[in-house]
Amino acid sequence: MTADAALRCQALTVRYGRFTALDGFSYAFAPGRLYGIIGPNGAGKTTLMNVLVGGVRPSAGSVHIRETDVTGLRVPARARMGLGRSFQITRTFAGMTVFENLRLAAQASVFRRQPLWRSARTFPETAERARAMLATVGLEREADRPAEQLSHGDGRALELGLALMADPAVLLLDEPLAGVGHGALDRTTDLLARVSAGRTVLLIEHNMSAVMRLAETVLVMMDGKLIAQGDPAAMRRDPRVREAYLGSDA
Amino acid sequence: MTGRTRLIAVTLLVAALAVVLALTGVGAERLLLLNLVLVYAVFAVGYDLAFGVAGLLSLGHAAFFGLGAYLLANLTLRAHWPFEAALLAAGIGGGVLAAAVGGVALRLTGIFFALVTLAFGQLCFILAGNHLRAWTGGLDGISGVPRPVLFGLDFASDRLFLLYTAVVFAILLLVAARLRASPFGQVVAGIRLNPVRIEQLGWRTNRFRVAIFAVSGFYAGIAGALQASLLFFASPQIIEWTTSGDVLIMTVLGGAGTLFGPVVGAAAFELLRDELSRLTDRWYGLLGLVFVLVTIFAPGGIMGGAGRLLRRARP
Repeated sequence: MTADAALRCQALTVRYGRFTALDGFSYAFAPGRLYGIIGPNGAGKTTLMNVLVGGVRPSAGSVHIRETDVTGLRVPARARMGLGRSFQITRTFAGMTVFENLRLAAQASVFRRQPLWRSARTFPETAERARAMLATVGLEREADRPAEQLSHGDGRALELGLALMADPAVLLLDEPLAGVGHGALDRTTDLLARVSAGRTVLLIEHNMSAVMRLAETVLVMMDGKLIAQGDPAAMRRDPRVREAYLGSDA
Repeated sequence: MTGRTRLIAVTLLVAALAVVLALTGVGAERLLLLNLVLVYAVFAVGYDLAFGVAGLLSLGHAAFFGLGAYLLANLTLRAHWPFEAALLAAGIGGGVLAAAVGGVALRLTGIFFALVTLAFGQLCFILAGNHLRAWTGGLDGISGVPRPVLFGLDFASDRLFLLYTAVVFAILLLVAARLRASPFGQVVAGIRLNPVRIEQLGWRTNRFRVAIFAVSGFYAGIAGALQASLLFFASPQIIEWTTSGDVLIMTVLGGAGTLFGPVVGAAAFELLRDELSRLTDRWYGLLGLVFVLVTIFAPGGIMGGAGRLLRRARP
């Protein structure tokens, strides 16, 4: 499994002074599977994600994308190797419309082929890809709306669309359902299921029913360590998990 | 009318207006003012590429402006280069210096970046005035900087030089417009709006920041060279931090982040400077008051305020 891993981390450790945010985390994420990563606040989930994308340098340990050691590479280089990410706090381009947001993201993969002297509006390839993504994330009717005027749920959909635009082989989703209202919850969960097909997905999410529905494997973290892993049903029954995270009456 | 057509129409209109003013009965003192407006419009349009598009607050652009002035003066007077070659070298010099400064200073962001550029500009000011006399003429500066002669036409008079500056302005305005709309310009704008997302999309933000800062330095170098030619003089005073402050005020006054805002801002600034300085020696204070009032009541500058009024007036 290790040799075929889409993403592999070995003994990852992150220390801030005397505080250890991530403590020797090792795991090999297989291609095409959806992993739910759960744990109480402060368990090290977002730190793990930051280390995996290259935003935080680990104090020790290594990260491999397929078989390439990317520990020394920064965010853009890892992104170009197929590592996509959506953020816990929506990070869209406020001041641009939804369509312009997606068109800009679509430029990433064809940028070197786009001549400098032509307007970004005149490239049909990026416009078509942006329109296709509007349909995928269900934002066709909001195409001309400034991104900062979107509802929270639609903002989360745009966030996901931006992450998907580069068609990443490995997608890291940091609480994509955070703040999404009950009305939009099922729609967004369905969307996550649809866009996850064929990719390796690491999903950090506090909404347990969504994690249990979407994830094929659940990793449980606590105090920066991986304390348990297995299929969702097994994790529900695991007494360590119940005690650490779900509560004894879960 | 598409945005592209409108841009070309407005640019040609401004250039044509300058031509008409140059060829008709505008007084000599107004010709100097109009020349200054176009020179500073070039400076401000370039400054806004860094400030308005990329969100880089530079307080050291006077150094690139001054380098352009000294390069033109030295290359034409001492090395006897043709004017146009020296003008291009002035722009390239400004761009290369900006790339070097940006390469170091852009490791910082926000106010720290602004302070480093301010310190760099003041260092250049001191060097030009005291330590590089052989090249800058010290505090006396270099006088006798020539005007261009092209295809046998001597642009020695302010009237004809206005034509020359109008053409250079129109070319550089169109280039700036094209750059802003290009895929490169869109990524730079994206960096201002959300650098974290841009990095996550696979672009190295610092490369783009340095590149746009260099382009902005190119514009400053060209503007500095044109000003030296206009005034027949290059002096270290133009490298002082107030020149960087002036171009910042012009940009904000007209409307940062818009193509024509810096042009309008340069015109408003120079007109106010001209009119107020006739009334009082404390014209800079009054200009400051105007700037404060505009930023309070029209945060988008003159262009932003005018746009709001137009939208309100529409039925």
